[in-house]
Amino acid sequence: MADARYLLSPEALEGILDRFAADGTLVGPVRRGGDVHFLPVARAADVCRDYVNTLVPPKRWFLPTPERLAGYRIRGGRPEPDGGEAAPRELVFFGIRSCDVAGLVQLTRFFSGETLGRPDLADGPFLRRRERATILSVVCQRPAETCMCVCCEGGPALDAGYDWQFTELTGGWLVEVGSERGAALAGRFAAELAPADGRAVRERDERVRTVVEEFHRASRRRVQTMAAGRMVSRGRLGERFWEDLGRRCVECGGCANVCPTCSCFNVVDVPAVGAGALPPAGAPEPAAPGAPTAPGTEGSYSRLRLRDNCLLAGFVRQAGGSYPRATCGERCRTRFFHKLSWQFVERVGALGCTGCGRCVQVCLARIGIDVVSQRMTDALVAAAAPAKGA
Amino acid sequence: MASVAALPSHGGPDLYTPRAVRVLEVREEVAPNPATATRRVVTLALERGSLDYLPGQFLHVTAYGGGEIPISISSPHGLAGALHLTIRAAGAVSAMLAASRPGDVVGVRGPCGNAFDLDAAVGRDLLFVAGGIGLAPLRGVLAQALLRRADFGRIVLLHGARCPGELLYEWQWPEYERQGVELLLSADRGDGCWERQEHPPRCVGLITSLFGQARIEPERTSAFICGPPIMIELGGRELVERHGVAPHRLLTTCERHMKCGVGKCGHCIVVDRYVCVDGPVFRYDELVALGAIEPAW
Repeated sequence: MADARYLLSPEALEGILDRFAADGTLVGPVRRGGDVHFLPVARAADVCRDYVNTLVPPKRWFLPTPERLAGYRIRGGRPEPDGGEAAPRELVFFGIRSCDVAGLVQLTRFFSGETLGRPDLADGPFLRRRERATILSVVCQRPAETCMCVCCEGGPALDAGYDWQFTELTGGWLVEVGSERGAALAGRFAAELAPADGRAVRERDERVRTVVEEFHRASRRRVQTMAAGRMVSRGRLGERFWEDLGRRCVECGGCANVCPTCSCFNVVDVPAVGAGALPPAGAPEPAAPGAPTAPGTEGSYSRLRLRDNCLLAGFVRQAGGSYPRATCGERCRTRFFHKLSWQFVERVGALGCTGCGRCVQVCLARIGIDVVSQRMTDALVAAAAPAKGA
Repeated sequence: MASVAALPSHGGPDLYTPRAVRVLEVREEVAPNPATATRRVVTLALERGSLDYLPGQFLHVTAYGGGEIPISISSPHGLAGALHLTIRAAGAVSAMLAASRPGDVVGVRGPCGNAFDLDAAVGRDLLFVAGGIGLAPLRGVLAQALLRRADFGRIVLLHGARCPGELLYEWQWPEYERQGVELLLSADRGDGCWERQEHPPRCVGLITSLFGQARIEPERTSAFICGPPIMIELGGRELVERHGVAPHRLLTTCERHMKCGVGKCGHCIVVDRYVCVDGPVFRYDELVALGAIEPAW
């Protein structure tokens, strides 16, 4: 059953993870240096247990960069299809946090074409990876200082989007089944799973409530959604607001890179051999580093998908000279409009931010979504306040 | 705009894989001229195969071994024969495509995007306002209108460019006029010779200076405007505010950098619209409304 709940002992969880690891399908949080990343796991013991969240979201497993979308070979001046894509492997992701599950739900709706009402334009490479992924998420009970999922329906626990959702309880784990795939998995591990009693479910609810209450009591950070959404959606934040933001932004693109819902990409055709060679002096600028600037001759080419970023200056610049968002402030507006506006909430069915707080962590200029949404709220208050001297 | 469901589209497992088609013919429309910073413009006639589309839609065109760019289709749909793409050598890939020779092979994906809704203009006068290479996407819908000429009243084409050498499809003007198109030309700057000729009627100045001569009857006019962003902004405003054209009867196209053409890469987003899927054809009043957030031109 897709909404069943089970109890799992810590030893049984280790056993299950070890079986996935032995199959070579387990991906989990692994400590590398000072950071935690989602990496293939050979033994359950390698899975990091005391992490809050990974430095980058697991989206790179679904949208790897670079990713080969297609390929062709030019022979005698004629192109021929070159090599089909290998089917992606079955993978089991253990330890994904709710904010990232919420991000993955959005990406799946977007790449399936559902968000834009165009299922005929489904993105095969993404969906093939997603279809072969099992999501075993873990409810956060020790959020980071930057975590704000409570503001954004991004956690700490979710109602859907996972195959299994784990919550650590005293002396064991509560497993919530969220999909048919999860139900099938529960069938496979029926011997290890015991039906959850009311006490376990109450303990889970109590633990989730504690996280939410603690956030409201102690956290200094918020993703402001109401007032900020109103200001950005109606275009009430004037040019000055965006100019100020643009002056602070250093255009590193870090925020979009670590955002679990950002997915913009570039596409380039590069030769399979000789990629990265320097172009001759005087040659036109390549579309991307390593991209060719003259028609290809004989040989194999790959069409690659590369992560791109709406804050970068070249994102919308056109060859004909038109440059719709020439200033950094205008590009900031695009990013925050996509994250917070009612228009996108309407289209996507959710806020473009799941509250993971990574943009707060990586922003060199300290203009993460908490600060910017607070500024938007302040702008509303300022607009509503009577003018000085009135 | 035609409804999305009725449009030819592409998708499925090969969303990003181009189909190889042969270049049948190459016609140089505009010769490059460094003195006026004029880029070369060519029209490629491509094998059409089974590809169908509606005017206003565009293709993603691959220069094999180079890359891929979006190009408007500039021939009418539903006909046997070639498919036309008019390409200005503006960047790396467009320059590669513009250097194509007959017999070369290019890749196409698509058609992408929505289309001009000509049915909504039946019984009305059609006004086409085309700045420079903006005539390329309008050429398809103009040709479509001429295939059913009796369905429409007057058909007026205003075509302007920065200089006379950048006016497009001069070879086709006599044919347009034979079919009852009233053609008026403009050039921002003359060349000392062009402006002295009398036919077709012309003026030196911005294309908006032709509006007065076009004898627009606003209540029966459906207008189509394509060109550089500033022309769409000023031209659209003047048509609506000074000449009384209804904003919802004024269709335009939005041009944006794009990488996928299928609503995924995010490059073409204007406010909350994906130009590649929700556009490229927009009503003028839609774009004005979007302008509260971000100028669409």
